[in-house]
Amino acid sequence: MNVDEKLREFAPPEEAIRLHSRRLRSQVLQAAMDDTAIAQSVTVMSVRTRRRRRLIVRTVVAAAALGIVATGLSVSFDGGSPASAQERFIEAAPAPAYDTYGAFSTGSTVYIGNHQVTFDEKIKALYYTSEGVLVRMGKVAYTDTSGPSHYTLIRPDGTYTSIELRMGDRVVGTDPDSPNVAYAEPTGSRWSFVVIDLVTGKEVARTTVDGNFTWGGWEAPPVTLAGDRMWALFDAGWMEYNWRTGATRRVPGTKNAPLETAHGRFAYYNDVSQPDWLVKDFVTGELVRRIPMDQENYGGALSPDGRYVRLNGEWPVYDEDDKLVSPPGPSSFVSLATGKVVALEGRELYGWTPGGNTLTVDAKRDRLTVCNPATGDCDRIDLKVGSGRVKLGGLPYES
Amino acid sequence: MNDRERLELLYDTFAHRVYAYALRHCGANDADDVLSETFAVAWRRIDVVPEHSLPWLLKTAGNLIRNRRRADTRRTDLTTSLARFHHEASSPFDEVVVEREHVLTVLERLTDLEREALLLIAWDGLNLVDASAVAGCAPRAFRARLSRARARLTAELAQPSPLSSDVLTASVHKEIQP
Repeated sequence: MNVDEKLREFAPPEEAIRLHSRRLRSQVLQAAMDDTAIAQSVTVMSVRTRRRRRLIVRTVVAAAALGIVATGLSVSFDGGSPASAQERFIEAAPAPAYDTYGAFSTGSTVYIGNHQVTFDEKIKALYYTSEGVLVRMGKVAYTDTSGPSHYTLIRPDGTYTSIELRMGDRVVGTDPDSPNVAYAEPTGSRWSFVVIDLVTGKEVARTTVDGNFTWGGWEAPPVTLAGDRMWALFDAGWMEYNWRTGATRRVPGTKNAPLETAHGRFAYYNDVSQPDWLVKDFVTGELVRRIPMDQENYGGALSPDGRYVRLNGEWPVYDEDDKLVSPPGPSSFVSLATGKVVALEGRELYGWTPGGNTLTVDAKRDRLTVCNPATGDCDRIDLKVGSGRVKLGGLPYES
Repeated sequence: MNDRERLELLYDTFAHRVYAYALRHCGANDADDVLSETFAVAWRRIDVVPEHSLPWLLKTAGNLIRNRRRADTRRTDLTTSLARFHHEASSPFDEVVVEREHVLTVLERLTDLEREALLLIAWDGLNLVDASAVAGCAPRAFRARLSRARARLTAELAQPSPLSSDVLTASVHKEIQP
């Protein structure tokens, strides 16, 4: 008996596997046609005892040292030379720098605007708020582990505050225009919606709702946030909580909606046979724009400010050591206000800044690039980037 | 045949192959998700799924598994990954169980690339060209890798099983207790 025959003798039992895949048939095919399968691919993780981490080094880069003050809400691109782009970056005041250049991390270091902060834990995900970037960190860089996560708010000037969020594997909701973070948590057989003010650290709203949540593996339904409202995605669709009025309601027509929202807007598929996206407003229900999807662009992502949609080409492929094997396909960006589509050169993994610019980081070349997706104008910044896995603001890292 | 019928046909023909591939790479807990995600991608990209579909599906499943970014910490060994299905279809003969575990253990000692080369052929039933496409290398390079893997597995299997005869005896003894 040769080696192949020997291996075949001990192959997984085909009949048992056929039976199992037959059992999953209707579920898998329905999920495929609803296109929610990706968002559902999560695993329940246990919560462990919280351990406080120590914050260690904080380094402030050029802007604060130079003491130069910029005005305005963002740093404009003028299509100038690389040197002028570098100067704009260095000279920007903290708030406009955060808005324009956003935040990213490598390993345990967070780069926010033109400042950076290093922790002794790995960065798992970054969430934009009006007060700065809320950072989720822990012993490992990925979110789907049973270990505890810790949350810290890093302000645009590089100062930071630990936030007491006692939760395990959950998807919190933030918004670049809001100082709050929202989340859901199980309360007996029901669910609590909770809103925390990141400035005071105090709970500002809480209510309890009923709903089935079986589609995801998180401890509670994932949430999103904008203005005075938060939304959580249950089996039956999105449920809204208006904490100014205390009212809750189901958002009609959102069953099988994908987990793709930003700034009070959500995406869904009107027809399972049509991959096109419809982007709607949560509050008014109005259609903002239909985004055509085709075989070149089969997925999308809303910018955190809800103004743009990134059309995804091919997915990036990583090997077992988490090294990039195949880069993502070319990306183009749709302005929801105008419908204009702008393609950016290169095959990059695009994150976002709070102000709606695209954000890419080339760790090998020590380069940060931000582009205006409405025009395609870009600023390329030379920035010494440390080693470790790159996490970009505006991208979901919960899986 | 419309797109929906084609997706259903793809599922009915290849789902078990995709599932078996996912099972050995990421274990039973994640294999359901990978199966689901693979057919979600197939549905979205039904226009580009080739007629000769299995290598494309396995390649997609492999990409999804890598993208899950869990392999380095949550990868389970083959014995654990396949345990549930081997148990359901288990032979009552403990000798078979012991030999199977020996083979799986030896497979674990190979490099990931060597093991994958062997199993794409022996378990997934791919020919050399299709297997090289799934493995992401040229057929010539895959052939060389496969030859090395076969030689190494043959040598490893020639070594005595680390599972002692005592284990087998104890197991059989337990089986025949009244």
